[in-house]
Amino acid sequence: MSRSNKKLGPFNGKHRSTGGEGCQRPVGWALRNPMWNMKAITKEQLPDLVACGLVGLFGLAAIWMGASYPVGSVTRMGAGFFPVAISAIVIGLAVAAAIETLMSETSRGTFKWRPLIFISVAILAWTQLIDTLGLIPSTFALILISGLAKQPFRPVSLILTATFLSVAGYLVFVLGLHMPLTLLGR
Amino acid sequence: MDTLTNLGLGFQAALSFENLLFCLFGVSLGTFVGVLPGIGALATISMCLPLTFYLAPMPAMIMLAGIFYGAQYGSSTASILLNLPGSAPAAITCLDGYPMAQQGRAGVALFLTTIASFVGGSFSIILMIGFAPILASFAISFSSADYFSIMILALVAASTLSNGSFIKGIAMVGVGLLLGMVGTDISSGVARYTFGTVEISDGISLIALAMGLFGVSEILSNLMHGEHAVVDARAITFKSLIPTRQDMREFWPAAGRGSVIGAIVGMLPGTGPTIATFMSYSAEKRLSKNPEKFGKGAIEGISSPEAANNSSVQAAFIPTLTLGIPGDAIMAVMLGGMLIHGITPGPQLIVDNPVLFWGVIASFWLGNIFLLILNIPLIGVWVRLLTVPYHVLYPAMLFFICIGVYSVNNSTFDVLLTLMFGVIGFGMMRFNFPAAPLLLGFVLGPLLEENFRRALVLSHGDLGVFVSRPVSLVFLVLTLIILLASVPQIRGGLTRLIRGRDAINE
Repeated sequence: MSRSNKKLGPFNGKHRSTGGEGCQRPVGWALRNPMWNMKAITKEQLPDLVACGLVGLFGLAAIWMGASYPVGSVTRMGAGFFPVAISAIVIGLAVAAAIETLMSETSRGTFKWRPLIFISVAILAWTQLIDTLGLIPSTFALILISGLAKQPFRPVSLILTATFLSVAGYLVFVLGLHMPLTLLGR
Repeated sequence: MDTLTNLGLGFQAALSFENLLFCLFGVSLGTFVGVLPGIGALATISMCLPLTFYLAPMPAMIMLAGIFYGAQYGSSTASILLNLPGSAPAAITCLDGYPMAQQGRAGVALFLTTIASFVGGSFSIILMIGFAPILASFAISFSSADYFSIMILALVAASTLSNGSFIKGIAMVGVGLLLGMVGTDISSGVARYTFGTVEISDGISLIALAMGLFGVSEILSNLMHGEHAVVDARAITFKSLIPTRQDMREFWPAAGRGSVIGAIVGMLPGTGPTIATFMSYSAEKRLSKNPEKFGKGAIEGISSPEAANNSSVQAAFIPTLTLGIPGDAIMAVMLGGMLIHGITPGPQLIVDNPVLFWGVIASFWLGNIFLLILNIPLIGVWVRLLTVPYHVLYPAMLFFICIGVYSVNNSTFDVLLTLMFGVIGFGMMRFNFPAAPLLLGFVLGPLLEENFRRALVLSHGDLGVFVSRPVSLVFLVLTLIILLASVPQIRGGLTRLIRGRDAINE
């Protein structure tokens, strides 16, 4: 698909020329037209820009927190110098990555909430159950909930997997490696 | 011959029952995860890292290394039979391996990739035996400034030479460096980025980070996209493995060239097996008298990349063991594992702990011989593995991830951290931010900062120390060359932007 067909702005594909001598404009042109990139954002590019923005935010947070640590001098560098310097580089690169995103096509695979939700819930459940109810219930919870992430749900094979892993987990981690885990209950 | 005496010492150590057992276990597990698409060597090594805390350092290193190179042997199996790489470096083997399988020559392809792996691995082991002591004795005179520059080269190379955007790659190195700073600053004792919590006052757990970025996110990604094809295990008989004389004539020179390319690429900091396989494939295609047969089942097309793959994996141990600088994310985890075991890799290792150093190297060869046995007579067993359905596999992987991370500190906090990094890693994968440079940055971060600070203390704050020392200068110039080589991407992108915009405005 031609990129110009996806524009949200006032321009569309029919304005696109085949290129040629007239296209050799200097870089300064882009800089003199500060609004140029605003028009270029397509629906497809928006999530990519948000991703770059998050990296930039991470850098900003790191620089803000890093600024509270002693910077020291060049000879005797404090704890704050390196984090601040690296954070600044990260922010710069996040901006560069955003600009790069605007210049390129984006393509992503399908996204489904189902795996993300059930895998997360399965791990959360495991962390809540392992110290309270013990190895067997937490393993069954992990396997059965994570099994919901993929359709169709296969209860029989999941229960068999959970049984096998409970036994293997007991043999390897409790008997073999002496991990302080209980099978059932505190 | 000093080296030979040492090597004899190494073999003596490696041939002990315990070490042989863990070597066999490591390479078997490596082959297992290598064969299965969707579990990488990195996730497996981080999963096994907590288990090795119960072992002495030597069997631990032997086992973890075995997983790494064992996985390279196994990874070609799925490439050939399913057109689905068992791991990233094996992607190139699909190009000619799968057409061979379609022509009914899967057995020959499996046989030749195993032999190629052995040739490549052996080549680099010999190189390592000859070269590592020299490099170590040279590296003993390296100063902090030199180390800083080598690490910069490793980080820049790792983020620019991989696929995709090098800007995003370097940005992820930066994020990794920042994550590596979490915890108590070694030189001043200041707690950084800990949010006042006890759990991360010693830093973020390497295992939680690696398992999240490479285990959980991989599972999420696999569940979102597609099903695996099913393979017919009965088609691989012992007889079908035997290549023709013509096959062997094409095989040897290609495997030789692949070994050399792999060794060179593997030794360089920041370059991993994936780059080695791509380089050797394109070299074969360029050298070939009839390049049109590539992609249709060319023997050279599978032999050279597979030799390069294993050669680079073994060669990657050279900078890690002698300089203490890992070349890629997997070696970074290995380095992390060694540090946890109280081994500090570097030029001193070979002097201070020769039995360990030479024992691990000797085990590589034994491991490669095990792999030859595991992969030729027993290939049918591994092929049958590909029939394990994913709906059984991924819950089991989650279980081992959870209990593996938990076992390090008996802390559910680390497991939650793993989940968080898993979700972040999935997002990164989705938006083409590479995870490997992040992990490399995370492991090298503290070393980088320490050497930077020390270099400036020694030079009384003079930044010129990084260019006035010849070794440091050489590595910085190499870094600059790699960066400049990436510039056409920017330039090309910029021209495209201006042209595109221009055309629209007309």
